[in-house]
Amino acid sequence: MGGHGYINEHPVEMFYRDNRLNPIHEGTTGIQSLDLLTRKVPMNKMQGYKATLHEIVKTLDEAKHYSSLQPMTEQLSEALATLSTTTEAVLTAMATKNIDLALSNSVKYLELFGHVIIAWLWLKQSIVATKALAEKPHQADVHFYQGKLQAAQYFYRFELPEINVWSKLLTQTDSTSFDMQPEWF
Amino acid sequence: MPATLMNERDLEFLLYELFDSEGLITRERYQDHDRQTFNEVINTAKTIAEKHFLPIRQKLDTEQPTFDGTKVHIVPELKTAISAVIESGIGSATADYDLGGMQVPPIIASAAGAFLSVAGGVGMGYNMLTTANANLLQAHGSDELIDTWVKPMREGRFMGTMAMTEPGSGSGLGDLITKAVKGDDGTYRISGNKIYISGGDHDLSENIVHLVLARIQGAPKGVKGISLFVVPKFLLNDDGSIGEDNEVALAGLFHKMGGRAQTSTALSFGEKNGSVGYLVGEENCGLKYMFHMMNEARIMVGTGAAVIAVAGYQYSVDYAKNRPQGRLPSCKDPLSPMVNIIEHADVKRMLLAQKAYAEGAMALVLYGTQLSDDEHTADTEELRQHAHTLLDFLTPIIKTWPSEYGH
Ligand SMILES: Cc1cc2nc3c(=O)[nH]c(=O)nc-3n(C[C@H](O)[C@H](O)[C@H](O)COP(=O)(O)OP(=O)(O)OC[C@H]3O[C@@H](n4cnc5c(N)ncnc54)[C@H](O)[C@@H]3O)c2cc1C
Repeated sequence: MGGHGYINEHPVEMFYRDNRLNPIHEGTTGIQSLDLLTRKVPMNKMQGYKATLHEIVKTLDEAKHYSSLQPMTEQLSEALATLSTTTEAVLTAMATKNIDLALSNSVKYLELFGHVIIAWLWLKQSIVATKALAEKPHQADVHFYQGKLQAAQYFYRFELPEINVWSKLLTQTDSTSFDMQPEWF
Repeated sequence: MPATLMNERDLEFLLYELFDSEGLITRERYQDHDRQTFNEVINTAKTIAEKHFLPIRQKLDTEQPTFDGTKVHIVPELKTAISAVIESGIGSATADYDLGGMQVPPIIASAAGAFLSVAGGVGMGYNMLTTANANLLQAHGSDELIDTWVKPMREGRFMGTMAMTEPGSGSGLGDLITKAVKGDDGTYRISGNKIYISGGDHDLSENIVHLVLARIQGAPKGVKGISLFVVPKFLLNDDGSIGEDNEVALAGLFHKMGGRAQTSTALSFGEKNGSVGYLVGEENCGLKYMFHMMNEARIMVGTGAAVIAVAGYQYSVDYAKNRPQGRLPSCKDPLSPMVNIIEHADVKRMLLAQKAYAEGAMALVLYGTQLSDDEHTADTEELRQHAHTLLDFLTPIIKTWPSEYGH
């Protein structure tokens, strides 16, 4: 919106301020990421983790029936593999290395997992849109479903690849933040 | 510029095409409902949002609540707006019939709530906290606590808070020091300071029911020594009417960057004789009970963030379709008309990013909301357990992803 989004004659600057609390209360992002890695992932022999991945695999199986969704399906399969190897590497580091170091990039893990989940939900939305388009809906709905597919494509091409950067930091137990000393600031 | 509050076509898509909310009516709990009653709930919320909240949205933001030393003053129209919500029944739509609710599925209530939170900012936060507070008490409180406190909260006469944070204890609740001393009559005397308590004081309800985390004298250190208490602003007389002041003093209001309609308070409990507190459940199990409320609140936080993202996206699209500026790189003719900015590729890129985040986040929070329903009402025990497992696992992501990417 350019300058018009920066002034309070339009509500978007208020939306921005209103949302700033959300990463803080009810457990900050840092706290949530530690909860995810130290409790939620290992809990009950990784039951929740496995159940979640299983849901994603179910959607991937369904998506295989739609040739136009092949690129997304392949990309999400790869992302799932990245998530698995990253998880394994982080859990191993937590068990074998200095735990403070092993958890020092926990927020990146949460972001990685979050991106995979959102990508999954976009694939689910794309399946619905693809099916609906095949039924030749009226014009307004054609636009609506095309918009869904385009937004999904945006997420897969512009956003999802970010997980590869985060995965590298996590699998290599990058120590940049951990090594930083209070006196160096 | 009258941008619509929510993208209604997208809500319809999420509710009925992606998540099959209509299928919920085969569950016993929802047998009186159908798609039409679902839409009535959503439309009622939309009407109240447009009529009562939208006109005061900017005022709630610019005129923050004030404290004159005795009383808190909030833009008076907020009370009217909140009353409209309570009277319509939307405020406790998901509750059981015999508790005054309408047994509406949470995913529908969440869609309805989206309109109210876009139009009212955190004005609705008072109701949300009250509902979550009542839900916690209903799950973990004694019958007596439920009778005394949950009913008036469901009726909208009392409102609730969650009072955990202290000046010296935020993320690390294990270090909290608010004190509880057991009296001869089985109640406790609470003393200590809490900060950032949302809705901690206001004039929107007859009474305020604080759920306070405190440490009973002699309890173990750390999170294993924390208990949960109901500490009302006013004690009740035997007939349930408002009685004595319970020494919950407002030390001051915080002035916030956003979400200004909801008071953020510093509270001082029991400076003289101790505030009377009623133990919830068992001693030293307080944090476990609080997690009941926190988990629910975390889904609400994610939802609030997703809804703001959708509203921002809606508004931006509307604006971009109506703002003429510049020409495409291919056009060299200064006499040609300007294009609306939505024609510029880079504007489309930004709007696509907003759409991908906002609608992705909205799908996530509605998925989480549906899981929170499935864990209680899915057809088989196995499905309920499965939903519980998924929700418990995904809560940190449902809370955080929309919050971090929603702007
Ligand atoms: C507007 C508003 C409303 C609120 N409403 C309520 C309410 O109704 N009831 C209530 O009880 N509380 C409420 N809170 C308090 C809120 O939950 C706390 O602010 C939050 O838990 C963080 O605590 P803190 O502010 O003390 O920050 P701190 O705990 O001091 O954290 C500061 C920073 O350090 C990081 N950090 C802290 N500990 C760790 C750790 N172990 N590992 C890694 N990083 C860490 C945090 O992530 C954060 O970035 C509210 C706060 C605000 C601002």
